[in-house]
Amino acid sequence: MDLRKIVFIGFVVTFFAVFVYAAVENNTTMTWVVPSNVSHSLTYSGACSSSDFYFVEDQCAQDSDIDGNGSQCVPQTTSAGGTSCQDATTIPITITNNGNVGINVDANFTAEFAGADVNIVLKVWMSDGPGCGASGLGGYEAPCTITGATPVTSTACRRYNQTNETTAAQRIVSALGAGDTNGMCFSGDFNTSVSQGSHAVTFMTTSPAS
Amino acid sequence: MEEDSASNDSKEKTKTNKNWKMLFGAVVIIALAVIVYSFISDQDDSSVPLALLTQDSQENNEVNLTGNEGKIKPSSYAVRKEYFEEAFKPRRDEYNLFEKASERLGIPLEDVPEYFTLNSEEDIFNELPQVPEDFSEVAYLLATGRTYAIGNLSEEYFLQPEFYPNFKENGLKYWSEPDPKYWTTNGYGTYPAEQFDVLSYSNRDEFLAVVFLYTGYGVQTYQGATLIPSSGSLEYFDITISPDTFLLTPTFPKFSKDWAHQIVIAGKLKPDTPPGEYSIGLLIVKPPYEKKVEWASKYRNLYFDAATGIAPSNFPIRFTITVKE
Repeated sequence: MDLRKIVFIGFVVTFFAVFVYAAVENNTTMTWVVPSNVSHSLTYSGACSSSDFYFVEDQCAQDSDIDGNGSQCVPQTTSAGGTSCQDATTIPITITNNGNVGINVDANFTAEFAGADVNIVLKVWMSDGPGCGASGLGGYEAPCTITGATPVTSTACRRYNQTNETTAAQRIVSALGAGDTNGMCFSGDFNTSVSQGSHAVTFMTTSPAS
Repeated sequence: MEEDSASNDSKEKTKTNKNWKMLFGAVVIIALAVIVYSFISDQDDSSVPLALLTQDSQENNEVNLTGNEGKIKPSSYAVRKEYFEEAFKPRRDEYNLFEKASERLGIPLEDVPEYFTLNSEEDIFNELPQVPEDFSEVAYLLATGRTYAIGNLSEEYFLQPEFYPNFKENGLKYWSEPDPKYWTTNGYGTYPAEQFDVLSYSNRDEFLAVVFLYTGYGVQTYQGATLIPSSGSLEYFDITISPDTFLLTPTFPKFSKDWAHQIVIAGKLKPDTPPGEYSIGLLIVKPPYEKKVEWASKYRNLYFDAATGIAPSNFPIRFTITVKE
């Protein structure tokens, strides 16, 4: 066996050995250019929270009784009314982007309103900065004018009701920049006739398409 | 006899020459191995031009990289190594959070610890491990995309909030600018949230990823979470996640010891997956019922599911996998 063969074979063996050693050092296989940090926080006003967020008919600004219909109903801390979570200087839910990339926020209900829930209506709009507008209803519209992929504004709302398809996420906030905060305001209306009792529905972000 | 002796001498010389040649060959092989290994070890430097380009583009907006309000700039240091050591260095004795809170709330400084239900500002970080000496350099390497070997990073690194870009800008304000009208109940972060890999049937058909998943800043609650791959991802890959169910503990009024987790995700190509580009998404969903009951009974009014009605629209963790022949 001449020198050239010895060198060649030895080189091949060593070459792969070096690659194997290097691979063991790097214990993950993924790469990135500049790593993205996607982070958010959800803040609630007062005693409200994701489980303490009630729309109570006899607390509505319009038709505040218990006959099954009412509108302009801001969220409350308890099902018995409690304290309002929303007014001109109080934002019920605020989302903050704490990461280093911009984010969109979409939401929809996990199931269509049906049966006893069929006449429930949720309206969502953006805060005006300090709060949710006069009497907490600055963006309330009848009917809401925001549809499709257009994000809501402080003076125009998006409506969720029995006609919403659960597979289509609805844009709430668009391009929330790193470090930015956006407030969301709500009205839970009782349209035509809603039966007495609790109507709990789940408001969730749907699976993102991208 | 003389012919035999001469033949033997010739054979000895040939054998000696061969030995020298083999020794020379071995030296050449070792030298080449050192050169090749050095090249591979420094292979990340091949991305230096890109990382430097990224860094240069960040210098005009250094807040995003160092989270230090642009006060620490590369141009401030004649010795660049000192800049790398300072850029991500926690400066907890300089945050002066309680002083700022006192001013904002209009209350005496001595009343601020009680406002936060703490004894001192140092309490905010006192459940965290000691900050390693090379912490800033390692965090900088990751933030600039110059290292991908994050699987071996210990808790000493990823449990420090300064490890995550923009903490100093976006995280400290929960103490320095408190608003008693509001409380933060939900939130989480993922880092690095988006990762890339190339697989092939002829070479490597498996991937291994690590993501740090942490409680959002200012969150006062305990959040139960389960991570699952999206249904579309499972059509082409077998995926395992460890841990897949976990509890995110509070970051306010102080950082608790389980506020961040190292998640390991392994994936393997399914046999009939055609070449192309694939997007794998991981979702955060509610934990199993028995875990939720366990955590809810323990933490009561402070337990929430991490998966809420309102969250960023994209997958919190995303992989782009290119599959080749």
